[in-house]
Amino acid sequence: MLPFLALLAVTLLWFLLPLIPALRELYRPTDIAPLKVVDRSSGHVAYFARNFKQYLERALPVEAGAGDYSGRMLEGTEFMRVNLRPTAITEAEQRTHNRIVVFDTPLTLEGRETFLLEVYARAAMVFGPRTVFRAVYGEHDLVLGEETQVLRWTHATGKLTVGAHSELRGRVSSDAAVQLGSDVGFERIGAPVISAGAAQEPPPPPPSAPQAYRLPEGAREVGDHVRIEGDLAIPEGVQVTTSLVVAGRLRLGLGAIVNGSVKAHREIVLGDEAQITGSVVSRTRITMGQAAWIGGSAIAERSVRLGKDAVVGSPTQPATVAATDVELVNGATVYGQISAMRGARTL
Amino acid sequence: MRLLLIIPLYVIVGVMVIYTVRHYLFTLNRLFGRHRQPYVDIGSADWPTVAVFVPCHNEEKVVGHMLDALLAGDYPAAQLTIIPIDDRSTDGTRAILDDFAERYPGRVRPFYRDRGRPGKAAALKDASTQAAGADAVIHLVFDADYLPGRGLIKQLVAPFFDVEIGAVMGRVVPINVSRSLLTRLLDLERTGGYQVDQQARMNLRLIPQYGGTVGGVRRSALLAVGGWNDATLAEDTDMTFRLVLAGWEVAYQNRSECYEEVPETWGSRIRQIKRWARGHNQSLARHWWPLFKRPAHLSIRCVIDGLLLLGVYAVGPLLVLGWGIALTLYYLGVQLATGLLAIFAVALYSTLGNFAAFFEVAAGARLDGSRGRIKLLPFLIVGFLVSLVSVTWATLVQVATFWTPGRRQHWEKTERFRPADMVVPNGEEG
Repeated sequence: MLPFLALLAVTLLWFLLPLIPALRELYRPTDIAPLKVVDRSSGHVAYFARNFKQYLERALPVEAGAGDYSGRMLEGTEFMRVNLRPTAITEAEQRTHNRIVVFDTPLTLEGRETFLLEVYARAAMVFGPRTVFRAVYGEHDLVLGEETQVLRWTHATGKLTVGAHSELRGRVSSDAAVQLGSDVGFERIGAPVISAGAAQEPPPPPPSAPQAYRLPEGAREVGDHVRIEGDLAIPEGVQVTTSLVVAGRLRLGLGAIVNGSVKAHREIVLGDEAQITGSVVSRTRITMGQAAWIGGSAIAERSVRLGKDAVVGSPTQPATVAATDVELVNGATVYGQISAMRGARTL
Repeated sequence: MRLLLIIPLYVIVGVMVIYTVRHYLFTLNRLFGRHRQPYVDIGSADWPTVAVFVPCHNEEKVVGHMLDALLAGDYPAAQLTIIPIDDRSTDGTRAILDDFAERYPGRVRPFYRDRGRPGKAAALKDASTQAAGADAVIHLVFDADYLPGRGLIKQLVAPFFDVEIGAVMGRVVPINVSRSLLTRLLDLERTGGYQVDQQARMNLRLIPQYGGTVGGVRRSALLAVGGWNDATLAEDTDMTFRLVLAGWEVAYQNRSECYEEVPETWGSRIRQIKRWARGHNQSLARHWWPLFKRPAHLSIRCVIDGLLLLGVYAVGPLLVLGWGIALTLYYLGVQLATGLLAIFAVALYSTLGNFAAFFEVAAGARLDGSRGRIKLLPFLIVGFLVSLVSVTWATLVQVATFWTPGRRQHWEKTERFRPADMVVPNGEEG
């Protein structure tokens, strides 16, 4: 009897063992708050820039309004203000600045500076090549020279111009426009217009109504779109007047037009000057030919490539390009936002 | 006689093993697989018109918070109409809605019901076709106790830029976690259900479930499948399967999070889960065969996942039946298996099978970065047992009364517990 009772006791203890931390957590809770929900504002492309601006408004002493000035923010961080003498910045330290730098005067710097803390440009600024920033905020136009590196975020209230071979980590935004040189790497950009090289306008409507394309047999109407099992190739110069879901590959020939949105389970290829007026979604890749246009957003789970002078969105119809990898050939233009999980690059 | 018991028992064991494998598949996918969220980065767009429906029946404790939260959102005001549906409230709900309509003319447009079939599905069916503003491109639905964050509407609308998406589901996060053991257990269950189950389905391109709130449908898809079905207690599950069978996809957005109030008393919880079970079983009865026939656009794995999803609430009664058969066979002196293999099978199931759901919840809590609350995991057995009994009872009653003439569906409204002085979070979090 005794061995049985002992076995029972040990078994019960064994069973109750996991309840010890459970009971402790129940009566002395350590993790009882509701999970914090992620608000979209934290995902906004200019989120960190706006926070920095608010921080400056809070922490920058008001007496530092005139002249070249070094001091401390209200919370202790060192800063330098460059106002009357542009050379103050180059005299200050050996091109490596371990303080927040505030520019009040429009300046053109030679380059090769390293800013270990944020830069706040209250005037239009031109930074020379090979400058390294932690983060930079410009209240007017901002020009970053070739081979610039930004480690956290970049924002310009005016136009942001980025030199070739630069690397912009984190979020890049402008309230006016972003113009990227060749071989610029980035992750997220948001601006009314983003272009690799000179920005392009969306194409005008075709001068005459293109020939209507008759969808293949087996195409099935599903609500507001037509579904096609397998691949679909739309010949050049024709027009489709409905939204499409293609359970395979989709190819649009030269100048072909789809008036509506499009989704393909495999890759989508827009030939030169092809147009899709709505959104385009692919489970793999979207490739846009020269001067092709997508009116809505372009979303691909692997990659999006915008060919020369290809355009996504329009000044009145902002759009997003989102994929794991994004490539922009010279002249490619996006009105809105580009997000690349792994990275984007101009060619 | 014995065969009549043994064969069903093996079938039940087989079903349990399939669900166990499913739990592990989903959990391992979430721990080690690719996180698929193709629409999360859509920030700039030509946002479509949206109607947000908020079905209400005696919601005076909560509906004001809900409308305030919606009005504080960042969705373009000109594109958004909020349509609270007052379904015969007898408390102060109507006065609150009138007040909002007066203060926000054109933005808040209440729809009042004082006749017709009661319940959320019927309310949605009427309002989605008759309410002013219901011609919007996207119809979103929130329960009255929910507290949407500033950007939630855009997050939920973003997937609809994919023309194949018919419905979108966001994530529900309990806000009253600290109230009792029950609320803490429900918090854990939700974590497993959304962070693991729903997101794994999204990752694996299976069938995420539209859950009836914190989500919505494309109006053209809604019309194409014949509108909301008011003859069911689970209009959400019903809508999920009607859309999927018709060729639409359902998207789950794990980062589209919204606070809800979970039941604080066991009575309220039992009524809630019984209603869910009955509604889900109605969908099982209605959709399993069309799904089993596998429409051309659906993959085999989608069909399997859909059937398992439909059968979720049938698992409880099956398990109880299995226990009953096993006990009967034991007392009949039947020994089903002997030897090491049998011991190994039983041990394997006891260690892995029985704890599959716990593993899933723990993985979800880990993904959420919640460390302390995982310690409550052993208490989940209480919640599961209560659910098992409630679901089994609800199913048995449902089956028993299925052929009863004049049988009418009864809508059980979930009780609200929010204190009047509760500080409502605004959802701001970096």
